[in-house]
Amino acid sequence: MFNLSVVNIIPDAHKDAVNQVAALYGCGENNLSVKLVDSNGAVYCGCHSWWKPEDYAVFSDDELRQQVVPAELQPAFEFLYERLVLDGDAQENWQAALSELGLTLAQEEEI
Amino acid sequence: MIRTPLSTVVGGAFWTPEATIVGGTRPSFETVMKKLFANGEQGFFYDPNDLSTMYQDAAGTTPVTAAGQPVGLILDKSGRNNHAYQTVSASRPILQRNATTGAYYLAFDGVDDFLQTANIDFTSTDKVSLFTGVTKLADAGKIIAELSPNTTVNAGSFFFVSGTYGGGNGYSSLARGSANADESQTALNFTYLAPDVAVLSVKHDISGDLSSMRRNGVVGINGLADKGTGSFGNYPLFIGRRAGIAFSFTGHLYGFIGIGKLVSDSETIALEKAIAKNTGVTLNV
Repeated sequence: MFNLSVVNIIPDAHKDAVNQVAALYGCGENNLSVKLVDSNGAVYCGCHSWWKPEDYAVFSDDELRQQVVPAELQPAFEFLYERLVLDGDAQENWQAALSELGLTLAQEEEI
Repeated sequence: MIRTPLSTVVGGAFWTPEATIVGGTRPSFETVMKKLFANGEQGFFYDPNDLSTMYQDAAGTTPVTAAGQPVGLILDKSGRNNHAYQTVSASRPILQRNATTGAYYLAFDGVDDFLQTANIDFTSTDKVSLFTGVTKLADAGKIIAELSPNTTVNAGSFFFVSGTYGGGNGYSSLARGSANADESQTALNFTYLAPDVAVLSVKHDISGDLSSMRRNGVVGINGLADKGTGSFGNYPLFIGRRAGIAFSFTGHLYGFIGIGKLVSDSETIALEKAIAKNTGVTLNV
């Protein structure tokens, strides 16, 4: 059951590393696709995804991560924000994460 | 009761047999769907109620078998092979089920979920009809679907928006040919704040300078401004997010049909009635 709501956010400088790791886990390219900014204009990238709890446990297991993730990519995880809500609402989780971190969506052009 | 034995051809799950009974004078759903694409028109038909058309991964390896699972691939039932896919795990919508109607829908999280197709070649027509059922869960302007990465930039494309646009809040859809995109070309249907459940049917005609939308059977404000010339283009279709990067749709999608022609009034009503059954709304017809 994909009932674990997960928000991941990371400073832009580490986005590519985490996206590479996600790809190594078979999650596809460019998972962190939402551009965010803080009050100082610093750029972050985020995503929301639904996971099976057991799968996320594997993904976040440090020991396994050290085996799977190349050493040069591992430091990025120190900067990875994770917000997990079991049986949660995606938008509530996402908005709560942005509020906690003081982030907003980067300015989008008008439709 | 009027029924035709074509449900296996078009996957009648989206259109339950009961939805096809229209007083004996209008065509059944199955008949409509068969006829709709019978002449080789370009288009697409995505049906979340037909679990056999969905896979959890974009490659089509792991079938979707129940609500609560991600949808990485939904097959096109129009026969045109315009399948919609998502290769990125975080961006896959989730299949869910309406507790009241029992109908399945795709739930888009409003953060990063979307599906897209390869290029769909609409260059042989300047007319398009669109049909869907949605639950709109946010009032900001969001992309339900768009042909091409950006209608403002690309001639011969269209967008379908929920939320704020054009000075109101509800639903809107713009299509254009060679003329620059402008709100006055847009079909509008206001004011419907979230949460709102709607059956939407849209018709676009570039040479006829017409964009028109019905919400739950009621026509809104037509877009009558000059759309320029030319046909629709050969672009990917994005469902739920502009170009996969912006204006992520927050809501539910009960299937989506698009065809490169203007659908007749009787066919439109038949399609709307069937979608209404799944969404649980009452049509004002």
